[in-house]
Amino acid sequence: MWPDDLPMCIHTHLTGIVVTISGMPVDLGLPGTLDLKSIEKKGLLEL
Amino acid sequence: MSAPPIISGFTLAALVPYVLAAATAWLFWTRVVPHQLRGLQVAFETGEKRYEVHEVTSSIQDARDLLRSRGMQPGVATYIFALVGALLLFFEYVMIRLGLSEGYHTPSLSVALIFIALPALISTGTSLGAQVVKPIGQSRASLQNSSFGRSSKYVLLILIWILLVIGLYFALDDANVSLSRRFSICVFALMSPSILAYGRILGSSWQALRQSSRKIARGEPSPFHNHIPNARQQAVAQIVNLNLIVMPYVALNTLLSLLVLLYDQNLLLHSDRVLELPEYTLQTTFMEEGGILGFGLIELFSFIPVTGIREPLVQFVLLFLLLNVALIGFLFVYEVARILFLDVQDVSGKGGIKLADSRLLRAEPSQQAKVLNFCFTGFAGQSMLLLALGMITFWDSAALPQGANCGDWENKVCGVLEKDALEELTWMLASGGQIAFLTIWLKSRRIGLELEDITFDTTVGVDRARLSEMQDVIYLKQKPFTDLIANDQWSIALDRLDKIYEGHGKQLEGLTLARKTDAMMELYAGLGRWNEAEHEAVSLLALRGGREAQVARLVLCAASLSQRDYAEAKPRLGLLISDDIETARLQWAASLFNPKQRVLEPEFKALISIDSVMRRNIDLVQRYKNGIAQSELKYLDTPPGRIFLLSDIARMRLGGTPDKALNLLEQFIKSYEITEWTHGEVVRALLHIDAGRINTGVTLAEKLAASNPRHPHVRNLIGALARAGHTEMLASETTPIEWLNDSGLDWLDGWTMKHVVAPPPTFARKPLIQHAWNSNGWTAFNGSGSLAEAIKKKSNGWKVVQTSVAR
Repeated sequence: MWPDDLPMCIHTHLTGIVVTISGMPVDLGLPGTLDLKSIEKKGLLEL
Repeated sequence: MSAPPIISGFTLAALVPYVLAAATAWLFWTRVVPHQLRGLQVAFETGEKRYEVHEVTSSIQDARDLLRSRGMQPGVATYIFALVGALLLFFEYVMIRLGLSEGYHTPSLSVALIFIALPALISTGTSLGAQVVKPIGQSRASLQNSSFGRSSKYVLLILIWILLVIGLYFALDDANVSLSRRFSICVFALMSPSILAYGRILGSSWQALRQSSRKIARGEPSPFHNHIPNARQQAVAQIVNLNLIVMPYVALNTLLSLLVLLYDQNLLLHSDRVLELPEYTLQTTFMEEGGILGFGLIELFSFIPVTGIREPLVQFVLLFLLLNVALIGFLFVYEVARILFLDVQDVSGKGGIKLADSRLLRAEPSQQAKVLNFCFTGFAGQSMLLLALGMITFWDSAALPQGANCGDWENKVCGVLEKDALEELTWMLASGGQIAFLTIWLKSRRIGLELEDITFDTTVGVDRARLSEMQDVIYLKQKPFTDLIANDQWSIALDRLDKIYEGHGKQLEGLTLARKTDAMMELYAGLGRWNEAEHEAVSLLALRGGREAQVARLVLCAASLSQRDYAEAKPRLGLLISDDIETARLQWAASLFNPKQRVLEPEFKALISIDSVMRRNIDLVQRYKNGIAQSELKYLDTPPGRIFLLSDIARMRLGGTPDKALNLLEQFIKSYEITEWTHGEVVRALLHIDAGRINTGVTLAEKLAASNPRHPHVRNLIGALARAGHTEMLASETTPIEWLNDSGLDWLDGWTMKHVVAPPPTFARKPLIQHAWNSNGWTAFNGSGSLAEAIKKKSNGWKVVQTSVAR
């Protein structure tokens, strides 16, 4: 629908990391530059 | 009276000044400073000519806590160093005068000089940075920027400044200016940022200080002190008031004196009567004796025949005239702290220095520490230097060793720190401060005179706290905005917002303002508009505490993380309640975004190990690594569960599988028997459009627009369809929220400022693609390996986003 062929209104529901504030879910996004090696090394994905 | 000599070597007497200086500094720091910093207040604008005043340190313990807070160490260290340096000099001199020591000890003098010179240099750097680096909160949407870059700017600035001063030194050398004059001019130039800061702060705040101290001195409450002052407060206010009254006259005296000096330095010559006085020594210029005023008073006092009366009188007047700037800078550093905290310079004058947003000052201890740091480094550093110079050079440098009296230092330190150079430097620094003050004071006169028209409400905080306790009764118990947004009831939330903006009369004004701010903060956070949510959270924290304080603090942390400002997030995370799952999730996110710098504490690991939201976040990161759009975990019908589902559907759309996504959505709705879910319906319409069923999608969208015209995602969908020519645009929204769809703004530019974590609707410009990569890396996903390629390219991953959208 858009000239550059991006799915329409993707921004209305594409989220990254979701946390809650007083029970309300909020989106913190997900930086593309995430340092996946360090994240794994620090055990952040093994909780 | 000859100056004492400088003696080498070590004697027991040399230890005494150290002990005395350390003890005095310790007493000063533990007793005087916390007492002086009690009652710091912040004021911020809440309406036209209306300011709310709130107390930051209501007790001595509050002041002590503030002094111990994170980020205060540099300021405290600088202040103590300078204080100990000045006290060492003082006690060395006292020991000599009492006959307990034969002269100044070289180790003590060395320590004193270093302790005074270093803070003075830091003072220049701090003042320069505060005036040159753009004020916080004015250049970017995020309120703070605690980045390394900002600190580096300060260091770079001071290095450039030092280089410029060195350049000036050589230029003066080329012009055959004498060594002593070169020294005084260059040190004056080096210190000029601090001097200017002194003038700007005191000049722009003079009116507010004067009005406040006058009222307190009379025993009345002032705009900034909402209670009848006690006798001690009245006495202090009287001293401040008297000083403030004479400040412009003393400054005017300096200006006129400098003009006379420039015209003809021999214009003012003392009469024979003065020259014959035994205590009088001819000075190089009359600036060393307090300018025209000092000159005149010496002439006047010379008529007093009794030496015991005349001499102290003359000394007192000269001391005041010469050391006015130093004394005000040193003794009134606490008044300066009050001024900077109150942040009334904008209303009481023109040309002041803004160090922090006043709401941030109320809300964030790190900002309070920052302002106090400036007072202790930028302000006290230069004042202490001037005070020490004043002590050394007063009364024809009676306390300054010269020539052979310097001992081993004769051709070293004394060769540079000559009598003429130091005397000249003293009056230059003092005059510089006076001129800077006078300039800003004159500019501020007209503005300051309107201060009486402004209402400073010091009771609003107490009233609001009282009303807050009753708000459930006043407004009936209503569902919080966070619940409404979590349950996708945006229309109800926006209707509620309208009602809050209608207000409930003047009596509830204070409460209404806090409710508005609270509502806006939660709405913006729910929309992912973090820059705006951050502004509202800061305002809310400034307005009141309670439940909202914790919510606002969570919003501030989330905002910093969303803005990728991890340095800013650090102190904010430290203020959250630790045994709370919402805190633990944010702590995890902070470690995730900045894993090298931030360790996740075990207590948070324990909290999140059994959390369903965190399981899905971890799953999302693992799938990001492997480029998998859909989760294998069960989708839950909870507010976060629905968001995770819709987000996976977005990834499936990016991967080009809208029908599979539609099945997933419909199965979810069916299995949980969901009857009303506007956000889900918006996505359903989008999936039909993706699959080429435009008419079905448009019909669904129009139905949604008829039933939920205020829902932001419905408005987004209708806006996109209208721009593509498939339907009509909806009528503009009336809420105070500015919608990019409705506003006449260039939303392509506005997007990156408002939607910090959402990819833009179009990648029409390079900054939008870069924004997409930084906000959500999934934008590089196309289901054919583009995401893995983008991840490999790290910060250049956006280039893959650019090519992957042309799929």
